[in-house]
Amino acid sequence: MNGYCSRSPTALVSAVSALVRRDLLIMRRYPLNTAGAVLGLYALFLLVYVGGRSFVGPSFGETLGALIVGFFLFVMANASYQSLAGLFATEAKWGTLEQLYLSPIGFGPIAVLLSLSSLLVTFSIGFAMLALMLLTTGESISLDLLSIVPIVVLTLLSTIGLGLLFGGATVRYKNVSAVFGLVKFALVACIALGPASTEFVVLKLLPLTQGSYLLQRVMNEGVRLWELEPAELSVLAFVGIAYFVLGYALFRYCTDRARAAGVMGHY
Amino acid sequence: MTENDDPTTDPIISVEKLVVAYERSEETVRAVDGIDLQIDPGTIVGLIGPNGAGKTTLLKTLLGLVSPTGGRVRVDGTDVAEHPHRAHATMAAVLEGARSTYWRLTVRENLEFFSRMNAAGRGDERERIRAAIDRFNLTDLSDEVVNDLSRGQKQRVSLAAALVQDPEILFLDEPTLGLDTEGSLELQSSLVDLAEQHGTTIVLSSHDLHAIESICDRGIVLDDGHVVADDTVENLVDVFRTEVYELVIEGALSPSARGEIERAYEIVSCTELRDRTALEVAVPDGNRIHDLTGAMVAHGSQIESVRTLEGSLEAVLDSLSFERSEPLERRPLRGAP
Repeated sequence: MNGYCSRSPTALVSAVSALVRRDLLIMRRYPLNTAGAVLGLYALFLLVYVGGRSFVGPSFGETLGALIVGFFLFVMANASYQSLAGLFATEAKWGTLEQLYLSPIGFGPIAVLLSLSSLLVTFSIGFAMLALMLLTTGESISLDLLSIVPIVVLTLLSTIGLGLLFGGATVRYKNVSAVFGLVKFALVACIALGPASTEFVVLKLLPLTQGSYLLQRVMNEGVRLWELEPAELSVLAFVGIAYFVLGYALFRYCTDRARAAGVMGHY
Repeated sequence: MTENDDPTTDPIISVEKLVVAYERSEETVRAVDGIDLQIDPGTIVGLIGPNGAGKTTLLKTLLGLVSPTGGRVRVDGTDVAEHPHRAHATMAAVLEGARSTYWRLTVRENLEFFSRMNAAGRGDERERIRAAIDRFNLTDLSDEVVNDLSRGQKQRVSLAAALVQDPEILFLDEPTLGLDTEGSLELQSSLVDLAEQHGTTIVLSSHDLHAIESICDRGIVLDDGHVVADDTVENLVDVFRTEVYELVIEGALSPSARGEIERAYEIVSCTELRDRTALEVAVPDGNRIHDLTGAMVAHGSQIESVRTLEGSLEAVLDSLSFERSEPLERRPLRGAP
């Protein structure tokens, strides 16, 4: 393969576009499956929304904006985490995990590209849900994408890190799906703790918490990205990158252990 | 080990003192136990052996999917354990037969996916995809979702997906498994063509000895993690062909003749027919067949016919009997004094 560079920008762009195209083709080919996933989340939102209105009464409207932003973040956090954590199990079941491992790009970079492609798919699901929620409630919130997107990306780095960690654990230890469900509850708690993190600073180190806090300010209070305190943004970036790097390192460790144990690709 | 006949050709795969050991239920299993071998470019090499012999582990270690416990694997000069992605630039594999592709995508979408994932910028993608589709007769199926295809067709899609990556080395685990006779023959023809026309090195493990005998230049017989025989398929079969003779004698075999034979040779089988007896005798050196017949005549046997038994890999494997042993060329053959 003279002159062939497996990690050239062309090769990386080609690979990520192949992954995104694959996901979109599968979503399009099985529309009921895709619609079912979005409608399931929408039904969950309706349950919270209708239930909240019934129990809390007219004052529920005051917290509606926070609920929508929180749910929007949960949908994307859950999608980014679950798509990655479950992906390796799915690929192993399909018999294609070994094919991904054999990519000349390398399995670690492939995991990063998978994160990137899952992020793109996650955004499409998140914004579709956001549109449904706003149409249903008639609520209006700030949709300053220049402020929202960077915060969401930095926030989701932590759940992508968790996804990589559980993906690696799946490759090495196989059936760890029982833990997947528990992590979802933890994610909800982390999002809910966003406002409390102003009092208990240590909470900012949890995944999603700082992002939840800043996203509420941007979407509900109309604060622009550049109006946020640099220290708050630095914490957001630090926590996101730290979880991502830790998740990636543990993913590499788990896949190395899987190779040593001869179980790569088994499920 | 087969010597590299052409000193100007470097081996494309080089394995040195390879050991792969796993912990299983509190005991260490040595799935590969001290294997040395070299594979020349453009050859088709078959890994043969019973279940648990270490074929798939060896194959996966060559691919970097399994880390060696000891020793080293180099592919095209690259240490696979240290730099797997560099080594992967030269290779493709079909390890899960029909399961190596995305069943929810069409044939063409799969080929495009694997080409873009693993071989971006390697020549004309459309031409590579067209060639792979043609080679495996997938033209009429190219827009079909893989899930709707038969097992044999899925197997062909997996092979096409590997080929579209333009590999120098192709690794196949049980490539003919689940294929009907026609499908198997078509596949064998494609693989030979691939090696001859494109110089692709093919390493395959299979229980299908007919396929290995038909297409492989070389057979490596594994048992219990060791190489017990490694030679050209022709030589492997010849060893057996010159080893076992069928002798038909008139009447029964006298005890004295039997004793004489058993002193120097091994009687593989002795079948008494109505008025004659058919013997299969392992003779380690073809020249000694005359000693054998002379001894039998001296003990009163009237020999009607002598012939060498048809060689086959199946017979070779039977004769090796898969006990831990020295490589074929060094180990004492059955019946030798």
